[in-house]
Amino acid sequence: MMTSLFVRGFAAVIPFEDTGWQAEVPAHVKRRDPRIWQMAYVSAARLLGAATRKPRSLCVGTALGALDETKSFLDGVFKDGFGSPRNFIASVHNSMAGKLALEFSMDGPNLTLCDGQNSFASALASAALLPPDAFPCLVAAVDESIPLLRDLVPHLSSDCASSLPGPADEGAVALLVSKDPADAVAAIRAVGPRVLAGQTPEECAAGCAQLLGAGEQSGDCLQPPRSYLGAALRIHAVLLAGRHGRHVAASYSPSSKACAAIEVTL
Amino acid sequence: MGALCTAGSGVGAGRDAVYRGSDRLSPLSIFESGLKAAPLCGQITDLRDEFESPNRTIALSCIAAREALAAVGDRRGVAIGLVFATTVGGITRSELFYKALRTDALVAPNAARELAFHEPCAAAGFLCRAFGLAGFYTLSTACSTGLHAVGMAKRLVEQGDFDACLAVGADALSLLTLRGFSSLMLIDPAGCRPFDERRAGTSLGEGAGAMLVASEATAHRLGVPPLARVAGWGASADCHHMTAPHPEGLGAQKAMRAALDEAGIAPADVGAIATHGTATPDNDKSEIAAVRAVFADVPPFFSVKRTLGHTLAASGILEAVFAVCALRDGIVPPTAGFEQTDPAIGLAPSAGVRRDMRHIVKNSFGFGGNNASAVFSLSS
Repeated sequence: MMTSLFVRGFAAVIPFEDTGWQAEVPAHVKRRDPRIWQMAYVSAARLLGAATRKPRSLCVGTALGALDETKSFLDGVFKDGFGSPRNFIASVHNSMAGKLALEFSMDGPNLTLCDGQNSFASALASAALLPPDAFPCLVAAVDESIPLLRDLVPHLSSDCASSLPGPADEGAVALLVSKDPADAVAAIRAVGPRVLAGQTPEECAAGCAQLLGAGEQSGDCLQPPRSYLGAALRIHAVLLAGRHGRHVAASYSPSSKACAAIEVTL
Repeated sequence: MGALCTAGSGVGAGRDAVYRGSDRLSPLSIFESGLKAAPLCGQITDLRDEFESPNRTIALSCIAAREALAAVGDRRGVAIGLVFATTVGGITRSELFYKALRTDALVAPNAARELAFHEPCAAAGFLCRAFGLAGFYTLSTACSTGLHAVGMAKRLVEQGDFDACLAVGADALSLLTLRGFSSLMLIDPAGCRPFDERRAGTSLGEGAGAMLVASEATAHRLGVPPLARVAGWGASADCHHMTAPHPEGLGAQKAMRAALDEAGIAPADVGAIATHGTATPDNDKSEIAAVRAVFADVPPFFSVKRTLGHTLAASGILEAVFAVCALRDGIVPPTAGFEQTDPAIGLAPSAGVRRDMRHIVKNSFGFGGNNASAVFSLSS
């Protein structure tokens, strides 16, 4: 139950802080592929560039996938009577996972989880379900700031507007995880989305964190972040800071009214 | 198990149509596609939504889930989880909203509500609340999603995350998928003809399938006798092309072998294969190449796409439901739409035969080179 995995490496692309990331996008990816694929690509390339063991499988968490491609496809249909097949292919939620498998030759299980703000927790919990020969596994979270949705912000409820990836909370986070604790940076485990009725998002998230067991934990991550990528960014920040101890990042999805939690122990 | 498809509501209605090899495709009438001719689709024209569902995919899911849970007795103390499979989520509703938004800014204040129902996990949350489920995962791996959901449900039960787990796959017909497949020239105007020499593409459909997965002990506690065992699940990626399958089906081979290994059986033990069988020229050829590589003696195989349409994320579960029926009834169904053997394939699907079986393999493959296989076995 809630099996622990072990982090062997981590990387991220956070465009708001890292304005030069696109210099790392190879020409064939830059020329053809949507921006969200490019963020996923660079996060994986940074992670795997330093890895001694390459991943065999992939679990990606994304709330909306390449929604901008869906919009472009529908624009084509509504305006010109023809949608671009390239937009359609990219619009499929698992297109990033397919692209990463293709680029980095990961021929094992390839799963994409779409659980809103809980997507990264879902991806981690799903990785724990894979058979031993699927490891190491690359677990990623990817979401982008979408111009159409940003334009709609004045018309959205405050809850909904603040959940959208703005310039500061779009990007990609990638972890390389295994079932072998030797030489690991940290242990990590997650509880996927749970429906805990009749509570506030904060209470729901705290309740979900309790499913990971009692014990010392830093409390700064229990306030569920609003943005889709928030939990992944918090886990990345903890790993980057190398703060010893047990840390829990909770999340809450207003669309599904469900919460999830990730525990990382350094 | 639960099923809702163009052949009718309920496992029995779909099963009978599959066993007869019925052609249930009809010209699209539930929305305007904008194509020159209405494509042949597996559509549900008499959908009755008793759940006040916020979108069509959710309405389909609820009906299949209700059937799968109908026989469950006292659930007190039993945590039932959900793995929900979808490719389009709430797109049928989002398309209408976005079309209106393009010309009428006054609809913009509805954006928050519309976006909430667009997210795929909104359906999973709705199902959890409607049926008292404990938690969920929302999976989206294109057309292989449904079968992966069954595999994940198996693992969640084995690992003890839930006492039982409901796998539900659902997709509504949408403008996005219809025009998308059309833009890729993957729709056969004459309706799909799996494995036939003249095949020229698939036919889309809509529907939902549901399977309740539990340990034998939990099944008895719930008062639902096991129908079959989910004996093995295999997953792989082609690493070949975003939309075209590997010509020799290397990824499909890997998924089938993994499922057989987990089931602990040899290829010769398999009584039949419920193929993905989309009827696109490349997919059918690649799938049979993979089957030939794994099975020295290819068992009878069949495709139900002409009967149900290609129901995308629903297809893996919906077709697995009918594969389990076939396993239990000792029937290898015919493949509607097939007439002429393709020399490039060199094998014909089943014409409909009786066969005693212990194990049946189900395949589902999707965009992104995503492959799923599962072995279903008769319960001991």
